[in-house]
Amino acid sequence: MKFRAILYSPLLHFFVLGGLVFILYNFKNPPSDRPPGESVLRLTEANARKLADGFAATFQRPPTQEEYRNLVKEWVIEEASVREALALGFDNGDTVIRNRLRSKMEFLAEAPAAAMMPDDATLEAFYKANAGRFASPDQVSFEQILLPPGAKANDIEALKTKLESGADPTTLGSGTMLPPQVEDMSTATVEKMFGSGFGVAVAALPIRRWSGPVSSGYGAHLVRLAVRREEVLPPLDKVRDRVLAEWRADEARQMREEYNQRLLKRYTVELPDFEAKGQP
Amino acid sequence: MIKTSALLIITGLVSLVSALPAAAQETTDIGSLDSAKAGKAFSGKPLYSPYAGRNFPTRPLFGDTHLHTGASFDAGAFGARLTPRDAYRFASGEEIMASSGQPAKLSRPLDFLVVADHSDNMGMFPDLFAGKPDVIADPQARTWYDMIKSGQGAKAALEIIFSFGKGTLPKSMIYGPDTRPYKNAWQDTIEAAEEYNEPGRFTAFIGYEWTSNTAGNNLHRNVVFRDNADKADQVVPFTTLKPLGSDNPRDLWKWMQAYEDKTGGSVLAIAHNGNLSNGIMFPMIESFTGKPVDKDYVEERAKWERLYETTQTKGTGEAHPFLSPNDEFADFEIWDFGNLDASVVKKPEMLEFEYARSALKNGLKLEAQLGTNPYKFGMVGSSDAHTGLAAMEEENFFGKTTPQEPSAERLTATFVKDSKTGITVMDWEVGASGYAAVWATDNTRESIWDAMQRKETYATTGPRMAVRFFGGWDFEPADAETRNPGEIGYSKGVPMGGDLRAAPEGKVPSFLVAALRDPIGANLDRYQIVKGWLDDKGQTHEQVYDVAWGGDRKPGADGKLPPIGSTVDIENATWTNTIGAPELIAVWKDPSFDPRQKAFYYGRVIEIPTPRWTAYDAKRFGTKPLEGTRMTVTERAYTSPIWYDPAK
Repeated sequence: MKFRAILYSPLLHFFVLGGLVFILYNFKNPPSDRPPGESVLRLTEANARKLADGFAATFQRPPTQEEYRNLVKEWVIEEASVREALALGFDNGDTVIRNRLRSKMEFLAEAPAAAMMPDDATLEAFYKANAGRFASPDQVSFEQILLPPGAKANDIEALKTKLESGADPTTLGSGTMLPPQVEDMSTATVEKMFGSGFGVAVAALPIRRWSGPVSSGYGAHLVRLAVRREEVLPPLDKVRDRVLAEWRADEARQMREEYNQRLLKRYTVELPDFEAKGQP
Repeated sequence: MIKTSALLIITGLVSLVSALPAAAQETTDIGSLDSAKAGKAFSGKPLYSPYAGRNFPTRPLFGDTHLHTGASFDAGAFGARLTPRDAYRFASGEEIMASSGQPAKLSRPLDFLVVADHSDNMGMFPDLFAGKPDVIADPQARTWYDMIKSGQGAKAALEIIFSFGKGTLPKSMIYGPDTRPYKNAWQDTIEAAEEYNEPGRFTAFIGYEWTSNTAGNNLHRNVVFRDNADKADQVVPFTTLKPLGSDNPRDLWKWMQAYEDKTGGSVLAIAHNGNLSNGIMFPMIESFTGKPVDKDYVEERAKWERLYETTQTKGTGEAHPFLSPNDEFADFEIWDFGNLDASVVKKPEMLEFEYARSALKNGLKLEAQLGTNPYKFGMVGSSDAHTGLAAMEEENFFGKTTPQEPSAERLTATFVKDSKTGITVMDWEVGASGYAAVWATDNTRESIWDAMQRKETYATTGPRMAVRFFGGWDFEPADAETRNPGEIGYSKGVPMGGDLRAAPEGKVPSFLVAALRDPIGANLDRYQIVKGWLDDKGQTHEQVYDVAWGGDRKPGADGKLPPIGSTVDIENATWTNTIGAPELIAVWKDPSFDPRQKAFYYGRVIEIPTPRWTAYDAKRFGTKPLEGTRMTVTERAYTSPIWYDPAK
């Protein structure tokens, strides 16, 4: 590496600046001048227990004596490092720390929702207003055959007549891995297999008649809808836990929103006289 | 000691994403199935309902086993604000607001999701609201507690926050880490999964990522629980930071064993794409000891690490052109610059211990030496997105990090830059990949986890093609004429992830392969089988066979099938399904089988070329791509292998 390159290396700058900070700190606060309390690292009994509990939660057993000594040693190093880092202001402007703090505030704002218990009328109203979220999905059972590409209208009619008069559908149409028969599948799942629009189209067909063509992601199909089961909204008591969870999630979102707005009201924002230049 | 890590230069601005384009679609006939053929395929009269009494999986379930949210410290640092709850909502098909302030929605819901936030630095939050008697002994605290109970929680929370700000918070409510029970992010992650887990419709797994990253060499593992909260919340995740954690996978396996012993539950681990491990993901010599891997290592690894993340946003790790020079499809979304933080440059000799195919081969070697194959893994793809958004479609790609969410800048922005090593990775190199496909009978935690455990899975780089791969001794060409390969496949063979043992006299392994393209995706170019084997001298070999393909093509004199061509219009980011085939099905017999040699076989399905996410971005934002930017992609799927062992 050329000398110039080293001189301009951000790493070098980092070391030099870091060194200056240490020198400055030691100059302003010579070790002998620091208050005595600052150099004491006291592990409280509660904290010591927390270390041991943390170990037990991880390893499913209490630490041995040696492991415990190691936990304490690591705690001491961590505590001392954190104090020195804070004294040097290393927490300032650290995006990880700032985001963590912001998350904690938001958690604080939302946390009450997790313990809230709405009265029955509130829960029932929420359940009714959001019935779609709690309904068990509509289901269809059907048979299908895939038409060869470019099949003519009269060929299709002839095929339908054959099928209506009892021909085995698995012997007709194009060979395909798509299932010839689908039983009790939600229309949403049907759309995952056949492509969007297909499930809804099948659900709208007349019952027990070969109908179509209906188009899927793979081409045109003749379909015989056997059974359609409408969407069913189970009674509130059957889905109470989920309704409660959703209600709380909604509350939490509102709380976060409300918190953000109230938070902003406490502050006056002063901005520089600077407009970011928009992209042309 | 002061260490610098790689400098991540991120630029990103918010802008609007345009609507999804309608993909051009056409189908091609693959021949009609007449009654004579059908009669050959089905011996005896079939039951009227082919689904009656069936207990095998009929449709693959798609999901992501590796998604980070704002609860991951690095995701938060990049500006990800979405929570695990947001992530589950999005994956189950709801529209949500991305961290960059633009609405995001999947083209169709996923079937399952594992939120896998980093176990290190999961946040700790005080549980202020548990109503503990010593807290609410204070009258003011009691008032707030009652407000919360009566539905005025938001008001109470704000009063508490502002009271704290003024320094008038009751003493009983001043929470120090050693004075009050803490509610941690792990608990919150578990609760989010419990809330959004809907058996039969959407599975929300409990999980986390163990992030071993010493010296920037990526050895991450995603840990997935089969269990519900009652078991998972008896433990806290294993971390890498000392003294509670460790960066050695052997310690993670001990943790997994301890979890199962204590709770009677089940966990498995999925190894992270090894392409940034700098030669230590699939060791023959353990990096932690410098000694050859031993019996203990191979047994434990085989037991716990059931799956491998073959493709994700940070590149694809199936095969490398340096290791597989004769495989023209090996050079796909390769990231081989160095390790995760770009602090050490890659050397060619590292590659063998990072890529799936070479690991499968070395696994045969280790099995011959130590009796167990440590690298007998199944394949999945996943996102590793740090956005809370499992959005891995080329035309609906929300990036790996929040600054990479759609914007006019991401086509030209820098992802990683290390001035010491000279490594630069641009945002355009990040791939819109991938998903995990699982052949599970039901969409539940238990059913999907069990399928993962038996490796009945495959990786896709994004599209949701249905891929079947069965191995046995008796598949015949007529089996490829069935409309229901699953029926024949399960009755005559083993599915992907399975084993063939002790070849019957005079028989060779035969495979029933089938693939159906994504219903809203591109046609298929070809279905290949990759074989690897161990010869009598202890050397490994590999061979790629074209087994089924679309269009009227014949292999050339070199045995290679001509390329399918391309219909991609890069400028307009469109393509048509006028080439390739919507379905591929075939039976293939190994032409050079030696019953004395250990071998593995896996399927690789290649789509026709389509526009890469970069082409959609260039079109929608009008941004000029940098020179060298890849604008097309041949999406693909990799199945879990089927292994052959001469021993009984």
